[in-house]
Amino acid sequence: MEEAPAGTLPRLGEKAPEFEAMTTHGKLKLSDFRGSWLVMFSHPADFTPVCTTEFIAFAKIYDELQKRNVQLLGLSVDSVSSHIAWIRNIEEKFGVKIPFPVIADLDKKVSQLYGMIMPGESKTETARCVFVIDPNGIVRAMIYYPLTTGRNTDEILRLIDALQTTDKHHVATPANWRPGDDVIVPPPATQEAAEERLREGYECKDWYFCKKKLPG
Amino acid sequence: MGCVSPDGRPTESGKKLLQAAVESRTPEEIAEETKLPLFRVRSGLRDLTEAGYLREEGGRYLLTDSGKEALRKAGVVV
Repeated sequence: MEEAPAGTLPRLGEKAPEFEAMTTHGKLKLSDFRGSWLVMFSHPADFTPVCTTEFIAFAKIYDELQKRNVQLLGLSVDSVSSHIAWIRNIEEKFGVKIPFPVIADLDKKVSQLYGMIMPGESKTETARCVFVIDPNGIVRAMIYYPLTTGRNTDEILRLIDALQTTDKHHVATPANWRPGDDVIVPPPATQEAAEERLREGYECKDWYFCKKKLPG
Repeated sequence: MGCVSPDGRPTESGKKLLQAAVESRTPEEIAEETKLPLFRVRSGLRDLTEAGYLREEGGRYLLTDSGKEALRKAGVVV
């Protein structure tokens, strides 16, 4: 397989690069997903064991993602025919239907645009990358895993919950936060706000470290 | 979405979208009516427009004569 240059890396908080690509659901543009959250993820190759476990795991959180207005989009440098054959094989051997489209990035255009190829690991395959893109097309989170290590889809759901909570309530979320846990009130920007903060009834360890409960 | 087959005819999904566009509609209205994800509707409408079955005017999609003919052939009264 032809070696590919590593390409650029998208940056958090910036517009996700637009693309048009062939997928198992026809030709799709990134902008087709406008108005929905998108989890775009790459895998090294079809018909490989770790990737198969990941596809099954992504299919299993598909309904939960739909409830959160999140679409899934897979990608590898295999062909549409290979993707279709693999998806059919997963259904036949594991009884799991893959409901989301998968990009056939044979020319590596999208992989390079999103920096999915890590030449130190593999010059020809995409690493296990995840890009969370919000309804306005902004890159909100990125996760990179090596070829050997399958991703944790529970963490992806948790990440979506955290990002959506941040947007809805203008708060931050602490380590290992789960929906229902207390959230972090953003630190005050002025001395006056810091003094007011201590009178606002939050659970504060100090002026910079305050938590609150979210309404029901 | 794969709404147009390699021989240029609308697929079953394509016919579903054409049927939803019998009256001029936006992609959002079509997604609501067909219960398909909006991204699939947008890509499908683009395919059908490129194939000449639909035309777009001010963000709304309308059937062309080819679109009406394709639905008639599929047994849908337009």
